[in-house]
Amino acid sequence: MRFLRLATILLLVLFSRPLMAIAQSPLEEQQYQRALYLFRTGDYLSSSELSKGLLNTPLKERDKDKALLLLRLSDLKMQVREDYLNFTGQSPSLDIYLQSILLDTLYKMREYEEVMPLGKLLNSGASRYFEGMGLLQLNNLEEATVALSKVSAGDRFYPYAMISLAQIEVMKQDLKAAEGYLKGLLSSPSIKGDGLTERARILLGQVLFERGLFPEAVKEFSRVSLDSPLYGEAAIGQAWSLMRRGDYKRVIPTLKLIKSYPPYDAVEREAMMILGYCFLKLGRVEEAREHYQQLLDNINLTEGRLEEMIDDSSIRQRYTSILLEGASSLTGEEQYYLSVIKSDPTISDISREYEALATLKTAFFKKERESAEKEAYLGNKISGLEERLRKIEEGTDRSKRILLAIKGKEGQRFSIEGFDMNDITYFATNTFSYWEWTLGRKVDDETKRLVILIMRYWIESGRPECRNPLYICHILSFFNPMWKMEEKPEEIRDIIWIIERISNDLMNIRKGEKTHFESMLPGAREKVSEIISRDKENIKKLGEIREKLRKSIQETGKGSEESLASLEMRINERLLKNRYELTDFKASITTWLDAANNTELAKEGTK
Amino acid sequence: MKILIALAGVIIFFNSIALAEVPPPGRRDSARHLIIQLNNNYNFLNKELKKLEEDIKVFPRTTLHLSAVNKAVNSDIKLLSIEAQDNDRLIESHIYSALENEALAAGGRQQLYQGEVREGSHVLKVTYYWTEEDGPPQKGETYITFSMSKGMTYSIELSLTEKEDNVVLDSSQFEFINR
Repeated sequence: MRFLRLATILLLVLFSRPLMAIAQSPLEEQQYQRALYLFRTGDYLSSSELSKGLLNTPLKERDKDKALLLLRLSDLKMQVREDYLNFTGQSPSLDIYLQSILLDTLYKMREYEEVMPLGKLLNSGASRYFEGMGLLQLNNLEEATVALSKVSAGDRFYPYAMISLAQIEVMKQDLKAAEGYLKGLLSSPSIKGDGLTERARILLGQVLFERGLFPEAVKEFSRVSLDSPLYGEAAIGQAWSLMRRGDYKRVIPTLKLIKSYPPYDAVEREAMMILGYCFLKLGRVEEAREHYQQLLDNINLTEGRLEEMIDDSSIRQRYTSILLEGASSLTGEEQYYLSVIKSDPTISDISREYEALATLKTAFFKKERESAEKEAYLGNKISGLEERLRKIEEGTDRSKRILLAIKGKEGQRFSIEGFDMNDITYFATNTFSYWEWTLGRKVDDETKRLVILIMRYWIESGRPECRNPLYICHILSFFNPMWKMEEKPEEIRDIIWIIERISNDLMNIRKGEKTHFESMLPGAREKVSEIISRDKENIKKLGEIREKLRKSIQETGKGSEESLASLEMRINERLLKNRYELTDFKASITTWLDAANNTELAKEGTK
Repeated sequence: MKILIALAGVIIFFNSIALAEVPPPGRRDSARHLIIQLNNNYNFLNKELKKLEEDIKVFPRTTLHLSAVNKAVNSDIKLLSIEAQDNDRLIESHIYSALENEALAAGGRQQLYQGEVREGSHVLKVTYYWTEEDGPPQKGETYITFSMSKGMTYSIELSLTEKEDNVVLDSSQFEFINR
């Protein structure tokens, strides 16, 4: 705990100072900043890896501490996450959780045919439940009952399964069996404290109402708390049950507790109508008249606002954006109309379709980018290899020209004939013996000729500083007059290789054969052109893939636009429908208001 | 120490070769010049063939890195989005969340893009939106020109900075050798 507190303080101190450079090199500084960004955005694994990598670079002690702290904090965060996962180990395992998500997604996508076999295969409470629901959606009531009955009492899907079984019995007109399932569920410990209780109570109330058991129905409906979002539905059930018993008086306080706001949803409208009706039934005509008049005024106001929303495309766009992207805050009116809009299942379907298309478009774009990068890499590779081969070809040509020039001099200037060999015989003899001993083989005459020639230049240029004539410092100083290093066997091998190469190539030129590098060229050329033609073929294929991906991006983009347009249109239709419903409601209210007015007039007439 | 000596030797060696490229007068010096030139050329060919062999196995990457930082002193200045186009091709777009802005404000660096690009001249067009204290989004555009060499990593840092009563997305460029 103390460590956590300390770590938090250190974190605050460390990360509240913007861009405190880790001041090593741009690469290390950037790596630290990247690790910090990843840590702050919750990617602890990557920040841990980057910090670890940073510690392997030669950092100053102070900077090492910062990187180490970031590493420890990243690891600590990961550990906390791991601990949390271990802590919830007693809950259904991760696999079951993922299974539930998968099945739920398939079910919501109405892929019932997919849900059922998968449900059988997975053999868990969740899989049985979704299998049963899939069968229910396909109207296979018998098999749905079998699958749902297999959900065990301890499973978290048990209450859902029981409610679904009750619904099946209602569909089969076996109300008593439905009542049995619901009563069994409500007395089961698995449902206690669960939001499902109220749903089950309302369902049970409806079953009891249908069976004509009105007092029991009232009792069940009245158990739904006033704070519950389902109170309206329960109150309506209670009202109907009371009315069937002729108890209009008790209906009024129950319905008055429903919080209703214009333009009123279906439950609210029904409640408002029943309330007015009860006033009239009880002879409280003035209250009924006032109630209807108030409703009419509210409806007139709401009608105007709805007209405005239907005509103004920016308002529709706002709702579209809230639906697709969410919003940080919503006004009361927005919350209300959003629930009206969301109540249309087609709108949810279109939203999901839009999201799926957006995901696809991103995936296509990513693939297109990957292909473009591969294409760029292959393009760079082709031109790079061509360039490299061109340089080698040019170098080989240059070498050939030099060799020919040397050959041209051979007869006259390059000859050692007439030169006093005594001066260099001593050095040459010792040098060749040493070379042959180092190489373990004979040095050919052509090479000896060239070495003697080089020695001649060396002696003539007056460079007697080579103290050890057995070695090759005279040769090395030929190539580099400033050479001061002591000779080593590998250097000797290198220089012999060059001299032998030159002498071999001179010999080849004389014979009219290819030089060393000329003979290597065809192999290199063949290898390179093989790779280039393969890469060119790959570029062509990538081009075709990119073209297809671009088309897919266009199509998904077009699909997204169409989804967006149809979503806006559907929202408009939903608002229009709401407007028509309001008009119908208004017509009913007007009728009842007229009835109330007439009753009042009749009353006054009687007086 | 040995490396220093070798380096000095190589410099002197190449200097002497460079000098030798202009043939000095006299026939012996001219022949010597040819042999030295040939040696130089053989060394070059050996290196190029070795590089070719390496390139055939794994050709070095030519990579562009784009990263974003927030250097604005005013902590209310936030990035809303960035869109980067390389030679008119969209390479990346990103919309910043509140959490990402916090990470940038704390000195973090976001790796916006990392990928292979063709060698040669490039014009990077960066379109960005920023805001101050939940005010209306402000649009900005910046053009960055650079030239990519094969086997190089080119790193461009985009930093949101306050400049003369304005907020701009400044750019700094770094170049690294891949091989």
